Amino acid sequence: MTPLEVILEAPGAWFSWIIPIIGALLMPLLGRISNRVRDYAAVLFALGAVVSTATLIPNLFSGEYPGDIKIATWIELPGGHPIEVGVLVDPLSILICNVVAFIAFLIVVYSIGYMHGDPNLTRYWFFFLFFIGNMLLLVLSDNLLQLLVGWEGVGLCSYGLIGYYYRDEKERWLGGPPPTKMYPPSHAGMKAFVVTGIGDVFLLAAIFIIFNYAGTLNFVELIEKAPEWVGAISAIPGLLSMTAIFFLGGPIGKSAQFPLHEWLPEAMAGPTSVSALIHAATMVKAGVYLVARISPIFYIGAYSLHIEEATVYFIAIASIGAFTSFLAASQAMVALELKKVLAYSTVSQIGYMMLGLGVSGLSEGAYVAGLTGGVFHLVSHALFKAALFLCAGSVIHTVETIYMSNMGGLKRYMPITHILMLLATLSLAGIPPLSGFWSKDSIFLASLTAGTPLALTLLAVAVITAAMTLFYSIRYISMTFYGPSSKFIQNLEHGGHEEKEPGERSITGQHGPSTSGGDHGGSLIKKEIQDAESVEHHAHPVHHIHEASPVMWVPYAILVILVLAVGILGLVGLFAPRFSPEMFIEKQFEMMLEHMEIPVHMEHVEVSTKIMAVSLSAAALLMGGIFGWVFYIARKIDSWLFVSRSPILKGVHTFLWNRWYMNPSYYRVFVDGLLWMKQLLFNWVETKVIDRISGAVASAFEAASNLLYGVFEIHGMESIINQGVPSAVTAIYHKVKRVQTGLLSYNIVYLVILMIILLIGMLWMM
Amino acid sequence: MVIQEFSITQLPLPLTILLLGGLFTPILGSIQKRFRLKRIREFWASIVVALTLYSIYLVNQQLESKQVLVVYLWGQSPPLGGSFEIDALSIFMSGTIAFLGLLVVIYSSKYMEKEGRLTEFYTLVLLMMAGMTGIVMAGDFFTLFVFWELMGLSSYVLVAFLKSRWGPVEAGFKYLLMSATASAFLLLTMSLLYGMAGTLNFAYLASSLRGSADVAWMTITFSMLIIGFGVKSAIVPLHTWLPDAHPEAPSPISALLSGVVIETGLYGLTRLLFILFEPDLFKVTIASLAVVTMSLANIWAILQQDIKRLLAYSSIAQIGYMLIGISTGTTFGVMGTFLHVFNHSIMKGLAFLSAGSIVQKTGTRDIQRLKGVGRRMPYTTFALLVAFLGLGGVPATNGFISKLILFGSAIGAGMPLLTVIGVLNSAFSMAYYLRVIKTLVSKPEKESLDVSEAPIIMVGVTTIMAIIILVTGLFPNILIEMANGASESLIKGLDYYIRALIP
Repeated sequence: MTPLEVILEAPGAWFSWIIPIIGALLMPLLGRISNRVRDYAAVLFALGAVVSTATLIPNLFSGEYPGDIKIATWIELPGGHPIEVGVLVDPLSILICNVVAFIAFLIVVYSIGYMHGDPNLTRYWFFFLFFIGNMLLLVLSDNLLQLLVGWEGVGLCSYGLIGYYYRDEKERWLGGPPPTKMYPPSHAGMKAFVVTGIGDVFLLAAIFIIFNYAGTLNFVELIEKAPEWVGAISAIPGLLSMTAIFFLGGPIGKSAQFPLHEWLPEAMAGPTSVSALIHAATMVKAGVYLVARISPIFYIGAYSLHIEEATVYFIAIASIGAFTSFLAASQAMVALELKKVLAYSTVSQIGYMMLGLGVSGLSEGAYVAGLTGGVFHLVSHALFKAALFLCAGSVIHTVETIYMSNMGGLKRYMPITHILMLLATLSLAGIPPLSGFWSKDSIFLASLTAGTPLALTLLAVAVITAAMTLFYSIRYISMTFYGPSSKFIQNLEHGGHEEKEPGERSITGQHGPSTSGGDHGGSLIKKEIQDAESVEHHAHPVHHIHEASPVMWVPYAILVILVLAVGILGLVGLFAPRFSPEMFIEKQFEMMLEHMEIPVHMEHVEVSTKIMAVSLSAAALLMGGIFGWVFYIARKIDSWLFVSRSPILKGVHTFLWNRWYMNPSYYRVFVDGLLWMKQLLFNWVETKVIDRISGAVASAFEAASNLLYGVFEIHGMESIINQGVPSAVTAIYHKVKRVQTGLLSYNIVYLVILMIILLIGMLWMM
Repeated sequence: MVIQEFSITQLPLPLTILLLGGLFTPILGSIQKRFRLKRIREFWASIVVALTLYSIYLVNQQLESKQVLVVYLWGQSPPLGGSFEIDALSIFMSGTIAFLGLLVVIYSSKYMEKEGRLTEFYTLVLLMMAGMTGIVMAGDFFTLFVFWELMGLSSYVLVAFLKSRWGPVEAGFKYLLMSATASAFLLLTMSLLYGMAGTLNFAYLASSLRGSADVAWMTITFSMLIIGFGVKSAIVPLHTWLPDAHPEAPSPISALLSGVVIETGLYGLTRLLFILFEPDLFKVTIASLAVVTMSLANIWAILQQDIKRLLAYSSIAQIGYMLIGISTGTTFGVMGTFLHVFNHSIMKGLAFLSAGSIVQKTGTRDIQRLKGVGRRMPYTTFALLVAFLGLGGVPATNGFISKLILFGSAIGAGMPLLTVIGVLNSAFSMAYYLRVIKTLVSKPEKESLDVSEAPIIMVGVTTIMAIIILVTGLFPNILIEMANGASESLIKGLDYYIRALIP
């Protein structure tokens, strides 16, 4: 077939990622014509991606999909392992690429309003469109290498957009308030790059191992040939576990799971539209996607080949997911920055998805249920979390502060945003019948279906986390929209923010303990957004807090409507299962696995199990809801007074505020440690050891030759040994650097040393 | 398979062209002086190298039907006489040398414009390339050694070419002394081999000595081979001349030294190792040298403040990666090594050339003082960025492909640990590459940074090289095929050579 015919087989799968990438490359050109043309062209390119992916949707309903389409051989390695370029169109990729393209399009529209007037928009659009293209390439790739190209591409865009305000103006910093440390955007970008990079190294190592044993990187072939190569790997004890753990390194880094979760809260330094798309709705789900994509291999390993080690993959990801969801939710309960709460919540919710995918392999019957739970939650989370971030963006945009303690009472000013954010929040908290409830419920159900002790333990963690989720949801929505306005808002409304007094404690009083936080209220840092609004603001000293413009609220209104629609379908699905979104996704996976010829034993889910799952959700909601209601809705007790009265709670608060001390210790160990190592290497290895070793070796050599010739030159010996004396090291280092001939003799000594080492080595081997 | 005498001079055609080219350059120089003409030498050198490249293509066409071409040096015959043996590997290596040489010579025509003694410069460059071409085509150890010294002698002078400053002279002298010591080792190896086999011809050596490694003398030979070739190819701890010589040489020469000269040393080592020993014997030794070389060089590189010195250490690290392929002893691994030789020659050549443009414009090699230069020299900096991404092994560059094969081959040879160390090193090395780029593109400290883009010829060469890196990174198949042919001719083709010579 000619390439054209191949493309026409499923044009949407190709154009969806080619169009945005071409668009990204055209941006600098269009920017020269006019800013307006450039902005609207960006919307058009994003629309192109949506239309392309939408053409794949009918495949879901017809149940026939093209599968793996290869267009060309990319790299041909001798020994018959060609790596091809192709797309894999199956239910998993169709579902996710549609979610990605659709949300991306809405956020591009939102950006028109949100980023209006920014001088560097060409760069913004370039990264944004390039991101969309790479993300769709990642999702639609049919092999690991091509996926890796997209994977690194989205990482690059994420790095570029986190550090978008690379000039590091003080008001763009995040963290704090002082004395908690604050970080500039470029630092946050670098942090994300480095932390995810660590995961990628492990992923790459795992891919090497897989390629070596399987001889292919194509997903379909990997799954087809799984019995052979998984068997071959498992012949070496420990290697399959190592491969699984290394492989998970990539998803753990990309999806911000413990222990590589610390980059995501800082990733909020970018524009909010970027946080919504990349760091909430799509890129961070790439890890979830990859885990789901590759899981059939380990499923076959565990249940067709009965290799015990293959379950390590599932055990590891389930445990990490459950733990991370708990960890991040606990931090969300004390965070003060609105976007950071949402970021922690993202980490926590991705933990749920990982848990769902993990429990799928804990018992044979839970596979489809687990996959469904994980992917369903991915979709529903993408909708409500994107909406939440966009709402948060509108709020921050208009009140110009990143701290929730500086908000409060915004309900009056922003009624539309309030309603929409409330609905999205209820979905996040898992209030029935919104989408979040159904998807969370399906994960609980999968864990119950798996039924192993581990699955049930993790389920308990997840239920506690659900309670915490409702608590922090109530907390942030109340601190933002309800209660009286904070001093900051009042000043903003009446006097312009220049006259802001060092505020009293705001109404909620959530300022962190004095041990770690000090008087946060006194030094709150306002966040200015450099756009038309602030230009307007300079003209009118009185700042008016107002509702967002339609170009901003319509996109998140659409998202919230979808959240409601999924929720209502879920409700309808209780009585007519064919309308249930969960059933729909489950059917897709059954079809996909059937297509892959993987024998799946579905366990019939008892009604009692379903009721059990729902009642667990309800219990969690009740638990979290009571506390949230007492502290933040009824405001019967001042939460801060409540915490500061008890030393234990205060300690817990400090612990959580400092992110379980993980972030500081990472910095202590890896950043400071590396600097320390560098200094050590420089001082010690470069100057002392090299000099000393070469000094010692030279003296040994000299001694030997002296012995040989019977001439003992005390002078030469002395001067060489002196070079090893630490007190003279610095001086000698400089001397040695300048007087190169002094080093030359050592260099030739190296020859002899290596020769001796080699000879000894050879003799030892023989 | 047929013994082929296809050149009237009894030398392989590319070698003839380079040697004659080198010898005629002084004559052209004096003509230029007398008639006050411009750019004759530059033009001549470019033509000679281009012709060499073309002649390599011609030889390759002759080779296609046969496995190996043999040329007797001035009608003598083995086992005593000198001979040339041209196989796919020789073509691959000499093609790499001539290709980089062509780019470098074109670049030099502008870069070296203001220097004196250009006649000597081009003569030496052509002779150095002749030396390298001779090495990769040599059919016996003696011929190899003669050209080895030709390459060495020319390169010592070229390192010390800017003799008005002390640095280059010192570096050249250090390089000379260390290489001379290594040559002594090689000479001793030759005498040992001659003593054992009565010949230095590769085919005869292979048929008589291969597999007899348990003889104690062979063990000594093995160690001395590593020392002898290791100094030139900068294997840690024999690398110490390199961080001085490469930065001090003129940038085009740095590009040639890092891009092909040290790899020619590696070629010599590889050729002799595969002729004399079974891979199992040297596997562990070479693998440990690879680990030491790449790990230490990367640590050293991160401390450097001098951009060219940083690149020099990076070259050492890359030699470490190449050693991985050799240590596997498989066709696949050696293919990775030679693919990386070609890719590295382009990447490191580009890195040195674009760094050279920057150094020439700013007059400093201190990375800290290059802040903001990237904004004034966008094309050059872009080329440098591409080179760095390639060296760091980022996908879509050719460096990624060859590293993929190298690291993959280590797993195939049952050394997964080597892969893990390699991948970690590769990731670690990005730290210092990114540091340079970050400095270059960051805001200049003083607003009026008086730097402009490099001349069009230099920008042209660097841009072309950057494009080559990206194109061969995206479509590597042709190169992989060629490297595979080279690797097969090294491992499996030895028998053809033996059968061609020994009835």
